[in-house]
Amino acid sequence: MKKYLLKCMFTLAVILMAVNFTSCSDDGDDDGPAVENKDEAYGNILKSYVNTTVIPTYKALAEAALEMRVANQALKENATDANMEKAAAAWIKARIQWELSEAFLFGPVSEDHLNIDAHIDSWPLELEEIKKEIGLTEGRLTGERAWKELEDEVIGFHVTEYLLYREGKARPVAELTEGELNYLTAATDALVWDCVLAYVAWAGEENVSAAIKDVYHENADIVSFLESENASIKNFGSKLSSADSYSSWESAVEEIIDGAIDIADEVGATKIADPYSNGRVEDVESWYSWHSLDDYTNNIYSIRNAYLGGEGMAGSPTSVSLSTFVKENDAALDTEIKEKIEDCIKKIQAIGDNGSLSFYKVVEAKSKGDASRQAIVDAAVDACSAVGDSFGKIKELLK
Amino acid sequence: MKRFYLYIAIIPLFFLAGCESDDDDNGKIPDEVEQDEEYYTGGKMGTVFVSSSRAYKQAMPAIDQDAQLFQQFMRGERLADRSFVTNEGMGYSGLGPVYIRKSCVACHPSYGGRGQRVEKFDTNDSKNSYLLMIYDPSNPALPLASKYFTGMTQTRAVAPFKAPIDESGVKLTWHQYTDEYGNKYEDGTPYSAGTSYEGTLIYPTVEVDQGAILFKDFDMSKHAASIEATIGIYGTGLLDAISDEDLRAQYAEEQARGYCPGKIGADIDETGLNPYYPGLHPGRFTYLCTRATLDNGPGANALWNITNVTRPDRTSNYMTEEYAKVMSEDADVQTALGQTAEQIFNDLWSKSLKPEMTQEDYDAFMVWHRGLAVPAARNLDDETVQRGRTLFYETGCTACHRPSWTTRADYKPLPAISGQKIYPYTDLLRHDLEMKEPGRTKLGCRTTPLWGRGLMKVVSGHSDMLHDLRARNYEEAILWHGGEAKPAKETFRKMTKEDRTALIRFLESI
Repeated sequence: MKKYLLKCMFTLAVILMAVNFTSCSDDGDDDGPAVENKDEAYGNILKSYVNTTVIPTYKALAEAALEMRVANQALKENATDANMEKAAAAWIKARIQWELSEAFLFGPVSEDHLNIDAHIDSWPLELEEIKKEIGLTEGRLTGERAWKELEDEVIGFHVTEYLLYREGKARPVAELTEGELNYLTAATDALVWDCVLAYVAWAGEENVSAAIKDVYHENADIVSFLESENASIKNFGSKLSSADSYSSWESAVEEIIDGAIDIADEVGATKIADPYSNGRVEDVESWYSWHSLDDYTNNIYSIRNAYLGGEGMAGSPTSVSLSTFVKENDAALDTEIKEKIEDCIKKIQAIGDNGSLSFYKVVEAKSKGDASRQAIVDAAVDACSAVGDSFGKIKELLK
Repeated sequence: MKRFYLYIAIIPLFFLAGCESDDDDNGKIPDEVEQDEEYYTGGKMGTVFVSSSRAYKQAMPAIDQDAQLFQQFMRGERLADRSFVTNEGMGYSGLGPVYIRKSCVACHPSYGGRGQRVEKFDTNDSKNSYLLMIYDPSNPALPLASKYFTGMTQTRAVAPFKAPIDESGVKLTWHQYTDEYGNKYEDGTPYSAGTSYEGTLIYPTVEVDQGAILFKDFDMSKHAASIEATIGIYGTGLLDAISDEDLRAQYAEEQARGYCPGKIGADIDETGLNPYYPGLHPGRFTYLCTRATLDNGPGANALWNITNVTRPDRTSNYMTEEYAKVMSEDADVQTALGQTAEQIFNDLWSKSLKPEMTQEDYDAFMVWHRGLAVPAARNLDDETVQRGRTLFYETGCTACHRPSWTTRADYKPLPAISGQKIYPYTDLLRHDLEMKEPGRTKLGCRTTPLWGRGLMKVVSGHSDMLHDLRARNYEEAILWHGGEAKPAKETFRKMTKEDRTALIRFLESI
């Protein structure tokens, strides 16, 4: 959200001083690698980003959503507490993959294209509408209808979370009504299709497994939505890798940087600082499962993966990445970014005493006047901002 | 790289020149120094150097440099991003009873990417950013229909209330259009050559079935309907910061010059509505220039009238009295609410409803709205772009697409964006382009700011333009210019392919 111009002006000021001692007569010696080489380098960074981070993350998301579907179907067929626990765990597994994708919420998933972000991660929920639909005894919800007709506020991760969780725990299975179980499986089908759609849109249908293709073709509306209504976004990974439609290679690489800055700012200022400072528990993400701090940590892992290459919570840095480019051009900045990311993760985890306290409870306590965790929260917010600041500096290397 | 060094060269000049305005030079091709200054499209405090898909979502440096403003900006962004809901206690409550959309982002994807041209009027389609307008065709400024319909027509309601129009009865039709040249350039090349829609132009018409209208005594056959797409939000704070005096001077100049005389928006009394600038101000926002200042502008009002979420300065429902009457007398509504007609009417038509949004949130929303930056220009030193700039000036485009303005010296709502030289490419006045089926814009449509539009393909994946998105690319947007702008369009039509390409490259770069 920020940082760009000030960084630019600062750089200009510094170089302005330097210019007094040098001249502009030399038209290239200080420009670093030849343009062609830089473009090739940018192309390689983008390919690595798409192929080792973005597409594998969406693949993992699609597969986790399918596990969620299996678990929820098992719960519907055999409503036991053990199956409820499995369904709740499957929700968490899929949720992790979604949060790991939030450093690249552009392209297919954005509101300008397939709008998958809103479709599967809307908050708040329209609870009365959900309850009304659950209460139907005839014409009950199907996955097809959920995906095609229902609005964002009554489907997606937070609706399935609402059905599976209360106060950070899986609900006792005895609480679930038949209508809720039906809604859960229908909403999960819609979620599965959206996750598969994101994966197929990024990777291209020809590059996904037969099993994923089968799921993609389960619902003709999904196929038509991509093939007919949004054909321009097909194979987006390939388009980004070749900077197709961007004004320059640098602009395409900026997607990686801007994606990281945006989610760092969002985690710090919007997801943490805003609800804490105002005591708004309703703004705490994943408030039924109390998974918020894990969500935020996984968002920072998403930044780390976008920067270092690779995927997953553990990460798996690759030999070509934005990091290797930065390291070649400014090793100190590369070190700084890596340190800021690690520092940010630690400080977010510290908000909840490394797992013993949910952010929901922290905000709730603040709303009742207990500001004892203010300094810890502030430190996490500052750490998020520092990650964004450090990423902003990369832009100077692209010029 | 060249661009970078040129910046360096001009910085001392900025220091020497200070805030001296050279806006009088708007018709002259700028020299090299000013061309490089133009990279800062929104001025130093209003520009961000972002050309990715997030280009329209960024905070201005004026916001970024102030921790409190930045926190408010982020809160405001969240308010713009979220859908409002009906149930209380979930945050973002207060939707309805009757509404147009649930969120800002529903019509402003990426805050300025614009929705896309669609085939069906479905407000649940995220690509559809159209507002439906019902008006008296003999007086498109609104009056007759307003007894029944709000200025922006509502097609959604929270049960048990009913929508004024059932949107399944709204029929959107796209027609083929052939101009007097058979949709070809002077050199024989068809328009939009090489695309799937080569050699074609299209325009929309809208019909509304009588049966889709809630009001039984409303005769649709005596009215007209049209669609208007939302426009970008970024940079509106800077447009607000242009003084009335400068706007009126532009108007006076256009009346005196003998061609393309723009129409200025009517004066609006903002007393009690704008805390910074009460009193009369000429309209400058919306296609018809019906809003004068940002603090009582399309966004400030839309937050309320699109969603019907009340707040301390908007404690009534956005609806017509006729709607309140019809709903209060509706048996289904009475039964569902268990209330009498009088009770329902008094509630719907109350002027002292409880605010559903806090002042603090509204203030944050306005910081966000005002603080959305303009993306910097790109590639201005490219030879083709330079050629395009020359053609843009020589063709007379700057007569209405005024390149630059300087914001007022003391912009109270956000002092940091005072005295900024900005490059919106608009005169903020209305012109008649004599388009086929123009809808309400036959009264003249405000000159669209061109800044940042070149990034639409990266942000939104399309380049649909003009008030109803009939133009599918820059070429078509130019070719739909008739009326006052016809000579410029004719010049464009007669250009060589290389020159047409250069002109468009310039537009894509600013």
